[in-house]
Amino acid sequence: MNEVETIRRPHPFMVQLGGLYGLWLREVRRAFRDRGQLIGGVSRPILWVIILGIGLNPYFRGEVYGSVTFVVPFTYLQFIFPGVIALNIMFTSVQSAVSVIWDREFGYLREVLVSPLSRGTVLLGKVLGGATVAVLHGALVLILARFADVTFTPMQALQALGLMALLAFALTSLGVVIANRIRSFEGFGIFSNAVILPLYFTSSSIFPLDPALSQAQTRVVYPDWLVTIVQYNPLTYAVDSLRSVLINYSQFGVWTGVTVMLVCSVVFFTIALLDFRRA
Amino acid sequence: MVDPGKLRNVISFGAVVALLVAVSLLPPDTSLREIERVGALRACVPSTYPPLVTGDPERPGVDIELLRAVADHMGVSMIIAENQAMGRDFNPRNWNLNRAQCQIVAGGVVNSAQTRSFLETGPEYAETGWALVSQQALQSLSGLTVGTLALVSGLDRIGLASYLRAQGVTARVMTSPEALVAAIADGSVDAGVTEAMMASGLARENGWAVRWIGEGLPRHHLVFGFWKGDITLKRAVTAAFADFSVNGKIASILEKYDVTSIE
Repeated sequence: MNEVETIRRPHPFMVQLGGLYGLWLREVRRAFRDRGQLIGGVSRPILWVIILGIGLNPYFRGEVYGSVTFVVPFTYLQFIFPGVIALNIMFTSVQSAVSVIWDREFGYLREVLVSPLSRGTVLLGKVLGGATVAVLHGALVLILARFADVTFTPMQALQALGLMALLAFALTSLGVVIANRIRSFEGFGIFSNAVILPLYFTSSSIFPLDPALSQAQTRVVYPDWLVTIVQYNPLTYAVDSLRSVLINYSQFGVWTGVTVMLVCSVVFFTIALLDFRRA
Repeated sequence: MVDPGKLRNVISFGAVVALLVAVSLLPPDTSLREIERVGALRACVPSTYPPLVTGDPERPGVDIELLRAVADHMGVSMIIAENQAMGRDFNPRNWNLNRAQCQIVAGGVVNSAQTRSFLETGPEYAETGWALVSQQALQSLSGLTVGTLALVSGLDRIGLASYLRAQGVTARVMTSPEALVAAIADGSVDAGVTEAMMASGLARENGWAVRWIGEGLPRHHLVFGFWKGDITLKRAVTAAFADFSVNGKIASILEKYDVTSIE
């Protein structure tokens, strides 16, 4: 045969895209196989919405058998609902990043890093996979919307999913940043809980800063240090945006949350990428 | 051949979703169960707020008839608790309502942000807002004296006051529908501003003109109010209203009281 057959190599971009898809699919499949994560994803909303939400609901409704003493445009169940979505996303996102340690431990990460895929593609595949699973876990909470008397249109549901995706991406990137600094499963578990729970409790998820108060009054009513922590916690603005979309109540405005989450996504992903390049 | 591993994953995920769906069907409160246990639904209404509450046993008013229909639908009796303050004072805090008196607040509750701050709101059934009633149709309010009767809670009073000021109107506060009718009839005010259903009722009774006012002022819908957290009761009332929409009950009650949209 005189003609030299040219082997058609795929375009480098398509190689990266195919690799990205493969890594993403691997993360999603692994999460589906992880029944422990699935049980966590269902037990958290049940505990927080059904038990805590119902338990505290009567004490936040302005009156019980007396006259109206204070007014808020939501029930406690409605108030806590977006926070529980964020909680489910937080746990799943950060725990998805444990796969970085897992892959490092079993040599998979080394194999992937010597493939033609760029470090950025490898990281993006892992983060997008983790974020997808986290959004799915967040969406599980939406099944309880009827119970909490939270009603939303399909458009609001889409907006909420968009916000959830943004939050999940930022937190999965944060999880990878943590995983790159922690060398053992045990250490990661302790450290991630030390990050997740304080972030959640200080994000105005389970108690509102009184909407009737001004900034100055808020700092008189609540301890100054608590208000400062809540205001500097990026999750506060993410939960507030979700609350704005789902129950039409917001302390800071929906775009503040979107902006904060975008900035966090870029910052955490950049740090994770720098860590990956050094790996 | 289906991969058993994949099948197990699908079953696990399906079980999780099914569990959450099952849990979401649990009753979140006891409000409906208590009403069914006692066998009576109690509603707080103003003494009179035509055409919603008239005080006339023959034609008790739109809200009273709707409440009775809802109680029938739920299979319980209806107890009306008249509240004098609701007709006199527009501040809900001063109505001194509580759960012991009633489970539903009716007779001029509008679906506004202010109302939703202290009550759950049920299905909407008629539009309301600020309306102008006068002996003859008025094109401009500039320089006129207008009687304002703002009984219903939830409409934007501050917005109305700003609008009237901007129109160069002299406002006089009225305390009752009777006082407003008397003032318009004897010419001490050129027109009256009040909630739309009341305005159209007064116009119909006296052969006067009525129209919406306040470009930019929001219009709202009339609703029943529930105590915050009484979700099961709210659902039962919403289900009743859904049936009434289908069988024409709401339309027939509104028609009976000549409740028509203001053009």
